[in-house]
Parts: sequence; C-alpha cells; structure tokens
Amino acid sequence: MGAPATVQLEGQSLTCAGEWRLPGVAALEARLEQLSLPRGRLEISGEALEGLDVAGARLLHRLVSRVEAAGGEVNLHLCEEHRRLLELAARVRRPERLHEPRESFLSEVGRVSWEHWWEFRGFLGFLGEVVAEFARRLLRPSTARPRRFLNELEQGGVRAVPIVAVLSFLVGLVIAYQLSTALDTYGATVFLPELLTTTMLRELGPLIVAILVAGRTASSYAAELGTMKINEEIDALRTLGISPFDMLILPKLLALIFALPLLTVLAGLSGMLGGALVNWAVHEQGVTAFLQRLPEGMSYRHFWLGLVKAPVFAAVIALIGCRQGLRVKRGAGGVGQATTRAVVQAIFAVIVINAVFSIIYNLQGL
Amino acid sequence: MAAGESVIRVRGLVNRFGQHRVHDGLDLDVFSGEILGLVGGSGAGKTVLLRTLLALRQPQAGSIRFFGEELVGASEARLRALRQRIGMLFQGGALFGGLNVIDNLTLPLREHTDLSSAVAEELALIKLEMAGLEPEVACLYPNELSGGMIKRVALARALIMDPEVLILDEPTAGLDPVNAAAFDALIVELSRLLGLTVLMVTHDLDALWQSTDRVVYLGQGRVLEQGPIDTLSQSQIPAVSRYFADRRSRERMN
Repeated sequence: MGAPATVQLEGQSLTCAGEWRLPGVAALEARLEQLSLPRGRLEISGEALEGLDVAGARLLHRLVSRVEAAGGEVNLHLCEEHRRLLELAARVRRPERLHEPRESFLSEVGRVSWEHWWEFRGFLGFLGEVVAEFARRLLRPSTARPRRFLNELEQGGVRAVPIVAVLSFLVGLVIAYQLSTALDTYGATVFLPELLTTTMLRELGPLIVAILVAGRTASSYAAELGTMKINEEIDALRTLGISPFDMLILPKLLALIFALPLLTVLAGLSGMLGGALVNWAVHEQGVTAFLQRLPEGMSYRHFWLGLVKAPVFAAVIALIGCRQGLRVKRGAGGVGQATTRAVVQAIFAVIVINAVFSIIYNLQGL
Repeated sequence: MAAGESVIRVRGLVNRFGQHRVHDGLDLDVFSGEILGLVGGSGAGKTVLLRTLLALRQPQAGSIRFFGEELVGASEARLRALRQRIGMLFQGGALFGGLNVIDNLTLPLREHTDLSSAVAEELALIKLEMAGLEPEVACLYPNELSGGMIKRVALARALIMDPEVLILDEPTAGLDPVNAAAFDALIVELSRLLGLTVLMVTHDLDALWQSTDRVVYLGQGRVLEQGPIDTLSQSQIPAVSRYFADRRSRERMN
C-alpha cells in the first residue's frame, strides 16, 4: 500500500498526492468539501499521485465541477492515464428517480389499510378458487393423492402430537391451579372439574392446538411453496401436466382438516389430565372422583362445541399458509416475509374466528 | 505494480474432500495485467480453486499469495483488507434479492468506506454505465432483470470497490452467443481501461480465443498445461487435446 491520500491548497494551486484509491480516499471527501476554494483560476497538480481509481477520480471531478460552477477555471496537470480515468468518472447519467419517494405518515396509514383490505379480498378469492377446484375434484376422485395426503398428515399432524400433548397438559395444570385458588375462597372447589371442561374442552384446547399448528404448519407451508415458487418448481409441475393444486395444496388442506380435530381431542384430554392432577394434589381427590364430578351432558356438549371449530381453524390455517407461499416473488427475502405473514395472519384469523364462534354460540344459547 | 509481476501466486496447493484429492500440489501464477482463462473438465476443481483463492475455503496445505501477501491462515482483518482489492463475479450473479440494483452496488461502499451516499450513488452509476447498462435499471430489483442484465449488474458490483483483480466464474454461461460475445468484449475493454488482472473460469471457446492472454488447463489436481490459447489447443497432452477437440466439434454442431 502506498502513502495515504492527501490534498494541499496554497493560494491558487492545489496539490494532490498519495494513493487516491478506495478505501483510503473516502476519508478525503469531507476534507475536499470543506476546502475554501480561491476565486478565479485554480491549478490542480496531480503529478505526485501514486495511484488513482474511479472513486478517487470522481472526488477530483466533483472538485473541478465545484470550481467551474463558481465561475472559476481549472488547469489540470495529470498524467495521460489519470486524465482518462477522470473522463471516465465524469460520465454519470442519472435516472429520473433513484429512490422511491418517502411517503408521509398519513399516506402510509392509508396504503397499509388499503393493502390489508386487498389482502382480505385476496384471501376470499383464493378460498373461492380452492372451493371451486375442490368441487370439481369431487367428481373425479381418481385425482386424489393418498400418498401425499398421508405424508402431509404425518408432517402436520403426527409430529405435532408430543408438543400439543405437553403444552395442553401444562395449560390445564396452570388453569386448574388458578381456578382452585379462586374457588377456595368460596369453598366451591367441587366445581373445579366442571369449570375445567368449559375452559379446556370448549375454549382453550381448540385454541392452543390451532395456534400451535398455525406456528408450526402455516409457516412450513408458506416456506415450502415459496421456495418452490422461486425455484420455478411450481411452473415445472404445470409444464409436466401436473396440477400444483392436486399435488400440493389439496393434500395439505385435507390433511390439516383431518388432523386438527384429532389434535384437539388430544389437547382436551391431556388438559383435563393436568387438571385432574392438580385436583388430586391440592384437594386430594382421586381421578375417579374427578370423573364423577364431570357433569355428563354438559361436558359432551362442550366437547362437541370445541371440536366443531377445529376443521374451520384447519382450513383457514392451511389456506393462509399456501396462499402466502404461492405469492412469493422476490428471492429468499420474499420467502422469509411470506412465512412471517403466514404465521401472523393465521394466528390472527384463528383468534378472530374463535371470537365469532363464541358470539354465535352465545346467541344460540349453547 | 509492474506488468509481468505475479499478482496471484499459488504453490503446492492441496484440497481434499475425504479421500478424494481435488488439488494435489497445484502451482499457479496470475501475472499483473493479464487475462487468464482457467479451463478443465467437470470436477477438475476449478470452482474449488476459486473458492480457495477467495478464502471461502481453507486448503489442507499450500500457500496462496495475493500481491505478495499470504492468504492461507491470514487474520480476518488482513483478509478483509485483501478482499477489497479483489472483485468476484459469481456464476449466477449472486445479487441480493432483497435490495434493488443501486443498493446492491452501494452496499460494499457503505460498509467499508465513509463516502457520502451522494458520492456512493454516483460511483455506482458510473459502474453501471461501464457495465453497459441504462441508468434506469438502478431502481429495479434482481428478479426484474434478464439473465444478461444480471451478469452486467453483478460485474458492476464486482468492480464497485475498484479492485485490482477480477475473478469471474463462467461469466458467459447461460447467455446467448450475441450477449456472450458482447460480455467478453466488455470484460476485455474494462480490464484494459482499469488495468485489471483477470482470472476467469470458462467453457466458452469463443471467450478463450477472444479475450484471454493465457490459458491454464486444470487436470489430475494440477496444472496440466498452460500457454496462449493457440498453443494450448495444439497440445500433445491427451487430456488437453481431447478437451479442445470435443469442444470444437460441439461448437460446430451448434
């Protein structure tokens, strides 16, 4: 490496020396900007330059144009090679706009709301498409792909069993503890099993499963389909005469619709098990006593009301995951964004739909 | 650096994958100001050699000197300084998909220098112009570019730090013959203009004839033969002559 880049101004003459190359020359920019250039003619001598690259030449060019813009004149003393570089560095053609103009807060709010609205409409459109395609498939069952279906069932359903069981057990345990503290105050601990059935079977069980599956599976659907999209694998399927809908979307959708109710049953059971454990540890009542306390008709009703929600959650989660995956456009970063969007939207949709169910159940007096 | 001095000097390079020796005592010199073509059959270790030269891979043995400075076992800080003097054009372009063209180009400038963004952008626009692109592509994203444009943007990015050495991995692969010939001409023009030393891996006979000063044939883990393309294509070594005969007949068929 040569000497560092320097510049020296004496009266009407400016001397450039050292190595005007990246990265060292970058430090010179601020110094050049601060130079108070003399009026009239400026002699720039660059004979002492040890090296010049395009970046250095561009800085020199900016200096020259500054003098000329102020009405001055420049006399350059450069070797032939450096003069050529300077000419090269003078050629900047600017596009009409280089960056997107920064938008105001208000217009951003407007744009984002508009985008969310279109996102919702897009989802409805996708839902319609899928239903139409699915209806057509019902007439031709031979297009079904049982192997893909089983494969998806294993990925999205069977492999989720341990985490669903453990987490809902823990949630049941925590809820039972909290309930029994509150019930103790009124001496009403006998109602613990009954309250547990409402919370675990009807509300929390389906919700925990749906949120877990939204995090696990919606993301994996979006990432899988998104990667396939940018690798042109989806187009490849089409050109091979294989419908991506049959091959990818339908098995995922059906597998999840099949798996989620089963997982919900599992979550309900292991949540109740957690509750029964607390009941035994805190109130010293055995599992048989716990079961006897379960109001028979009531818990069946809660069980079914909870279970009805599961296939709806499943369909929404699968559709959101697939749709976000298929929408990926921009490279690897796009896959990441699609995955995030899929999880956020799926969890959001699950909670909203759960609320809608609650309202409907209430209105129907269930 | 005076012409004729060796900019890259590889001695006794050994690269092993398990039992398989990709390079077995490879010696290579790239001289200042030349355009060196690197050829060899598939699996001859061309890409591994490039990766080793770029310090993306540590060799099992041997020495690699850039500008007289040892690369093997160098510290991260030394490597970073060295890497700014080397520009690399990856085969697929390796543009960052999340950034538009101008940000792809200015990224190294923003990372490694204190240049103001105005100057950084001007430098990027100069490089785009050099690479033969319209300034309007600056705000496009890589997925909006054609294959030829991606190569040109990647070349502009390889040149952004004003490197002294340019390494190209199959620069014309995937381009149509007209675009490929134009790209070869561009590389020759830029290397003369900026005084670059160029090392390029290529299978393109046209590129070898048009642009290289010297060609190195890689085989059996070593340099089997080297020289100007006209002597190399007349080589008596069976592997080398077979390579060129094969390529020629294939090009004739096309």
